[in-house]
Amino acid sequence: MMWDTGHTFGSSPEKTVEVWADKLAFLQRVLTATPAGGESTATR
Amino acid sequence: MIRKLATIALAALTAVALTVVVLTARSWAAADNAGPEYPPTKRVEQVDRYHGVAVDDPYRWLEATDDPAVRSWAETQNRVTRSFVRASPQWESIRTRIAELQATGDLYGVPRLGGGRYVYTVSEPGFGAIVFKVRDGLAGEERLLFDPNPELAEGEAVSGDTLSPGGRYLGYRVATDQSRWGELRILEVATGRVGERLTGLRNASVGWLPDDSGFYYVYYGDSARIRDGAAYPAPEVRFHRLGEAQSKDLSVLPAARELEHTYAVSVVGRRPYLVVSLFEGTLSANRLLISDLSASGGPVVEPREIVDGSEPGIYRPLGAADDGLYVFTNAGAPNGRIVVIDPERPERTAWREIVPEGPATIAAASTAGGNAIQMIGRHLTLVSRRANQAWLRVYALDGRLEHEIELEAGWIGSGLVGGAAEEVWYSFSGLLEPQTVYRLDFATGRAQPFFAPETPIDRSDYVTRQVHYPSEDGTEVPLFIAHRRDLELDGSAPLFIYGYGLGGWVAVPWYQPQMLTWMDRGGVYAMPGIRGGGEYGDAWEEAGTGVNRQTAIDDYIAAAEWLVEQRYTSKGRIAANGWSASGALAAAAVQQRPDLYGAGVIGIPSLDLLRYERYTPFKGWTRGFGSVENSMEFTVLRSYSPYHNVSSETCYPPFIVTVGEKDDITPPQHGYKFVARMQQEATCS
Repeated sequence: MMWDTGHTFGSSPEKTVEVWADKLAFLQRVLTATPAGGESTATR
Repeated sequence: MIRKLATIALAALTAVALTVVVLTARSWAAADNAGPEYPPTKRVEQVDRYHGVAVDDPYRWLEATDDPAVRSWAETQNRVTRSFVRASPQWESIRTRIAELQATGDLYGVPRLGGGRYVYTVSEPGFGAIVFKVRDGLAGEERLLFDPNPELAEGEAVSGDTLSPGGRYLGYRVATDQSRWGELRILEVATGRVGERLTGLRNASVGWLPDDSGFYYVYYGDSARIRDGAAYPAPEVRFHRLGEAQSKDLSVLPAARELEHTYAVSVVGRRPYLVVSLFEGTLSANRLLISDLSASGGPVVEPREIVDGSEPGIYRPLGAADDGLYVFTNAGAPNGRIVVIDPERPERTAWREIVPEGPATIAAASTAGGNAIQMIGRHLTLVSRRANQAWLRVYALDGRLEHEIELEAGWIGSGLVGGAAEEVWYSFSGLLEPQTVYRLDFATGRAQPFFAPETPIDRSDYVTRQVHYPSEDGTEVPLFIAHRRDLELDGSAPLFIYGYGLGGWVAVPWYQPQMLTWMDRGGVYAMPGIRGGGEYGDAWEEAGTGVNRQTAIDDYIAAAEWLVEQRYTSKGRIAANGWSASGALAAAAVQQRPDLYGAGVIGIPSLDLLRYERYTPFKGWTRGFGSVENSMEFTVLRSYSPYHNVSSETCYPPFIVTVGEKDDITPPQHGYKFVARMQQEATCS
């Protein structure tokens, strides 16, 4: 008996690494010392 | 068997067919960068009414994900994204480091034992190709059993296997078209010859007869992959005799009465019994049917009900001994217990309790990738958790505790897998430990690594902590934190925070090359055990589920606030990460507190919570999120659904959103619509 493992999509080790490189490179560019800030009008 | 909720795949998987990024003008100013030119996105007039409330949906057209116009839009988004992120001078060095940390040597699966042979998978790290290897006994020499890859077509991958009790046949599931649907192919172990290929299965859940002559399975119809809101076909239980064509398979239980119903099958005990679990529209409760195969004279049987589900809960058959069927249940016992049911006297008053409910929660499913409760020989093995602590326990069939091992913070990806009568196998990974296969010997009570990968880091370079923080309402919430030992905690570090908090999933770390890379570059990793998860059992889950979902978001936000107070990071330096069902959690947190976060990193997400039920036949989240069909639940979903809470007067931090183009649990329109709305409607002065 096995468990269903949830999401299904194909990928490769190389693609997985590249996508994480995309995310960390993105964070390196946008998470600067200056907070982005913002005044929220969204309600909770 | 069937997972309780789709939480398992969030571990370590990041298979993505598309990347899109949302960046706003003000964020660009803060980042001192020029922003990309977003492609214009068409708006349409579309207003729906829910319980008398008008809700507009101007990017409805992006739901037609196979439409050429939508594909073109997505390709343009990808180009814009890649031109931005890959222009970073850091990109190549980050990629190289993640790849180094991922290259921990071959990954071994947990062995399955049949006929004295151990059969196991070996794969490249990540999503590498799988081969099957075999040893004759524990000390036997390893040799290649079968390489399925030459026979795999483009887009096919091996995703599950099952060895017959006598070891004569290996069934392996081949998923096609990146979908849940696939074939079960049968390999004759002695000859290496692939015989029949069975279609219409969604998993490799089968119940083998003890003599290897055939197996029961759940058949979903000879259908192509189903998407776009169509229901899965109603399943039936069938019997397959080895060596015969699938067209000759016998129907044991007819198609379920309702499309949302589904079955799981197992064959247990020496007698043996066929046990069928029937799930009626929810994966959180089932009934049990049983048939004594020794008395039936053939594979076609008429199972009779022994647990009617009048007390709702999970009833999972574990195995059978002379005194009856051993069953795990959380019905009336939220932390779980194990009882034995005599099939001849199945009434509840005659049940005998073997392992009573305790203060720690028996991990039914969500904290392990597989079945975390097993009956092996004359032993019961299980994993119990309470907050940050976990124990692997072995009981005798009379309920006596034989062994207890306290586990480090980590993920038992395989669940517990029985081998010989006196051993249990499992795979474990921690933030600093790549997937390692352990064998626990019941004779000694010791668990030792059997297949251990190379560890490409010095663990002493890192610090991990398990702490608690107060949430908004004062509730103490567990929190896992990690960073490099030499990091100065002066508030300047960037912090990556992941939360899930749904379906009883417990926030335990697993090996993530990308997070080691993040820490090596000065970042902090944090993972709170927010409500909605299973840290303290069902009550903890309930407190962050459905109409209580804002509590989970509040817990997630409170973790970031506490980490700022403790000077792990500072406002604007925090990346909010969510995956799958928690895409909505992280995105909502950023929308509610744009001052706190510096970025959103959202993967394979749910983001349109008013229409998610239409996007997939998967019903596992209805309990977790609630349904727009219910007016109170609609009101709550409307209040935080990220697609529906984009304010034109708010400047949000930038997001990067990744979707799986072929995923049928969270299909890509969630990401497409959210990205379109954030790009077109949010403003920064």
